[in-house]
Amino acid sequence: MEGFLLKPIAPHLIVIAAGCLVLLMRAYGKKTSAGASGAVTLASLVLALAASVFLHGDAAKSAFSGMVVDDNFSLLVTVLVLFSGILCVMLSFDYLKRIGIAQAEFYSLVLFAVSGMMFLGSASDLVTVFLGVEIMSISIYVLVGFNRGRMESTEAALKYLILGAFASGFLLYGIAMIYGATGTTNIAQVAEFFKTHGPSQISPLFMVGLALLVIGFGFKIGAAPFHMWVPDVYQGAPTSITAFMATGVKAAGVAVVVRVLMFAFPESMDRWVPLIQLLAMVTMTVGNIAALTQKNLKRMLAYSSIAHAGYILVGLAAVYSQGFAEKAVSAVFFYLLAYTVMNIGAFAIMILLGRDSDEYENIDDYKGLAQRRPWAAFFLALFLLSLAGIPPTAGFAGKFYVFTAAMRAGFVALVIIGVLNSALSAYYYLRPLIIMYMSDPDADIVENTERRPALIVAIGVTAVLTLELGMGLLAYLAGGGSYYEMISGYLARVM
Amino acid sequence: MEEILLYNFGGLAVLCALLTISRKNPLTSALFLVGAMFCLAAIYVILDAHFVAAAQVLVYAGAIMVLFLFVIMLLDLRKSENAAASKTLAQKAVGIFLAVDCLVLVVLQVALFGRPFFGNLPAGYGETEAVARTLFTSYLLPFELAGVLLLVAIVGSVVIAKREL
Repeated sequence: MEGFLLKPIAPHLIVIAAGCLVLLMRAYGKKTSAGASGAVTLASLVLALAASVFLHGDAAKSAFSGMVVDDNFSLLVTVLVLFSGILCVMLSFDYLKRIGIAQAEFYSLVLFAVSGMMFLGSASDLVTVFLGVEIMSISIYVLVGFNRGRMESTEAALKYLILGAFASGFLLYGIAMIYGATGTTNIAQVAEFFKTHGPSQISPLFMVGLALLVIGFGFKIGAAPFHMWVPDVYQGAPTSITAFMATGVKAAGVAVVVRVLMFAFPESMDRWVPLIQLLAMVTMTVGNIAALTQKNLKRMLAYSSIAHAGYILVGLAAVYSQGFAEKAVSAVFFYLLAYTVMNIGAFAIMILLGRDSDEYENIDDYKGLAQRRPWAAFFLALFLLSLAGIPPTAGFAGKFYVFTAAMRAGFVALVIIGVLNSALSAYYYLRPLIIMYMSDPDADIVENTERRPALIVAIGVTAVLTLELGMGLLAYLAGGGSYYEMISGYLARVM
Repeated sequence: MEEILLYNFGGLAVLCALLTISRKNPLTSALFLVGAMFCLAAIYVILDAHFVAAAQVLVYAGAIMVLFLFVIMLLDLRKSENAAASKTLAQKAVGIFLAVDCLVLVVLQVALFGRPFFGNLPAGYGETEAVARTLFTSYLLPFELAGVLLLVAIVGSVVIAKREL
């Protein structure tokens, strides 16, 4: 017994309990509005965020026979996914009403998905990893298809379900192989096994297991060549869920990749780092080239999300640098945070402008937006510039840290490809900008002008953070404390 | 002896799995899937995991397969009905071989039953008590998480399938 047994998973339990509460409120209170469910969801997510920060001790605590662990790494993941969940709920309030799917079940599934992601962050056993992945994925499959009246939504859900089930199979098979090779599923014990038995124990069985794990996780984070589902699913899903998938699911997926690869297989790093490098190169290039020709903003952001997964993988490959692994992982975390704020911000503007069933997805819809809605145009421009990685935004700072980490690991070719890709991406991020600011508005385009406070708050928060995180880079370069330094300070204690 | 049994059932499981995905008639596929599940159960018995073997037969070969067959029955199968009418000599031969093989294996297994196949295992290994003990001590959290997973699946299927929420 390690003190109060439930303490390490208290935030997770709050979220699960809230998910059940939302369901029960709907079952017993027939008159309960979806708005009330949304409010409960938001409150519980904030409560869980507070609980995860305040209950967190500095020393790593494992619980349930080493199934979960509460350390600085899990705290960062928890905060990140809760933040993404909170923003997603804020985006959903009015959007769900508008497209006619305001249901309590939506919120309860969001809560369950968040709980799965939190378990992914704190999993210290491959069994917990798998269950976390499944809880998250199944909730997301349903959320993608929640808009049942829309053909694209159902199609996206079906595609995601079938391919996702396949990826889960890969993941589970990989876990089984690693269990076969090492005799344990506990991440710390797997690492211990290789430490005591030496690299001679890296058997073909283990390598196949490792490859299968990378395939499974690669699918979940949308890395090429396992990215085929991303554009269709992101486009078909309700927009607030697209934002959630691009940020929360990706963050949880990347976190679990780091946890498994870094914590369980540090001894076989020279085997999996080249694999990650290759994935990073392919993912960046495929995502950016495909995004160039998109006429639909949502689809373009989907391809851009593939590209960003590539940049994140660059940071992941950089853990190869001797003694600077935690710096590389911090860069990855910083990138995830930056990507979360700027990407959700961009989707929020899309939701803000859309009306009735018109999702406002076409880039041409944004013609002359600066004249009609100067503020919306300004914020969208800010988020797009950040996604393109132009200073002084969060996107630039993120890329700076990631590429610096990769340079430190000596991956010059990878960094060159990354920077070239980044330059390429400016083309498709700047095109909507030009359309917004330099074209004349079409008379027949009318966007939504209702007042929606939750959405405005979400846009405000993401915009402030986009600038704030970007400005942090200046402090870092000047040698002062920045967010990046803060994150790596946290991680240094567990890695 | 043990190895012969293990590889025989393993091979059979792979064969059944291949036939499951290569048959045109969904009913045939489903029946081959039952076969694959049974072979897995036999492998569990060889590995002295008796409880898991019984659960495998009850849950997979039993409940889940019945569900599959129900779904197939509700689908419209008229197109593929004629295809399954006549059998070639090769099909008959394979069928007879499989049946005989299974019979021999089961007889062998029954004859060997009662003594552990591999190594010296602790007393009570693979029995319900040992499984339950592990499940509710070291694997308590995954067990409970599986409950959350099932709840999510139930809510999800209702959301997708119900006509009006």
